[in-house]
Amino acid sequence: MLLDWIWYIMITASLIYGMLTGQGKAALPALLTGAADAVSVSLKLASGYLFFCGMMNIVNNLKTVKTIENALKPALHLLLGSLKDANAGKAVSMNLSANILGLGNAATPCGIEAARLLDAQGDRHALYMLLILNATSIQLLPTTVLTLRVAAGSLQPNAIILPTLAATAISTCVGCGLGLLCRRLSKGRC
Amino acid sequence: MLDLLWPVLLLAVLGSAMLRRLPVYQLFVEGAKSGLEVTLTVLPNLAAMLAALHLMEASGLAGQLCRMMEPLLRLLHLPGETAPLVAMRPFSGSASLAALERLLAQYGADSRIGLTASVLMGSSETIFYTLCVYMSGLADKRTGYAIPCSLAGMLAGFWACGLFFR
Repeated sequence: MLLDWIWYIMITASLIYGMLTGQGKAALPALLTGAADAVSVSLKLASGYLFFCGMMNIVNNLKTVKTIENALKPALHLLLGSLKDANAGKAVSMNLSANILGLGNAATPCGIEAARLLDAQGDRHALYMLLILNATSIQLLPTTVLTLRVAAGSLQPNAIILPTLAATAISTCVGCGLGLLCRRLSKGRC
Repeated sequence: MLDLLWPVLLLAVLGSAMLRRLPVYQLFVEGAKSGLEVTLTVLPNLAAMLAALHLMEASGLAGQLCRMMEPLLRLLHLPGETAPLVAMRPFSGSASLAALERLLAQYGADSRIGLTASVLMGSSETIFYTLCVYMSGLADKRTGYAIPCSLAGMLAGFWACGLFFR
């Protein structure tokens, strides 16, 4: 639904703007170039998806997720408070550790399950915090961006890893900090 | 030191997998298969979004959008060219991926614009899409303070990113 609107507005606004500024004939070639671009960009992305999904499947079998889950426990207790349902806590920590490792395919089902369990026990604050944690992204290695950088011929593809980590840490801290603040302000009312 | 990151990381992963006697080859191939599925899902989405983006550029609307967002971007110390990426990042992963690819192709991955765009993309999430997916199974669709807090976090990350490559 949301995507429908974004796409619709991008296309119709461009078409109208182009007609008004006399760029009408450029429309069809541009659209077709874009669609052709999708094929070459997908080929670039495929290299990364194939390789990293392959490696991540090995990592997934190493119990690395378990190690990260244990390391996350104190932080989660601080952010979510004490959870009545142990399964909910388990789903949240599995969701977050998979996200940190960049295992998007594994993270989403755990996240949906965690949201369902938190909703079922009526813990709105923990649910909002789960949403904030997921929406501010905490990934150790931005593999998709790295793939595109390598494909674009970057001499220093890795140069973005540390700044990306710093930026994502800041966004997560600010998001969670504000979430805790909102929680305190609305205590008793929600 | 960063040059050693991938060799060390991969050696560590493969080394501990061998210690556990894991069937590394088979696991890799299985995982790569799911990577192929991801690629096939992404392609039509990218076709839709890249077609729209090219159209926006050709019609001059993209340039107009960049000029309109200039004040906000200047506040965050971000180059004006990153406007399409910043505008679409919270809504659509394919659209922002497409926008990143355009910037890398036009300005080069190691330029200030390329570096900034890469960090913008890597450090943020598709906030609205993520929330839609996670709330989809719930009866109570209220998101409370989750959206404003997430957006504020994203802007803080963008601001940090702007400072890094000022």
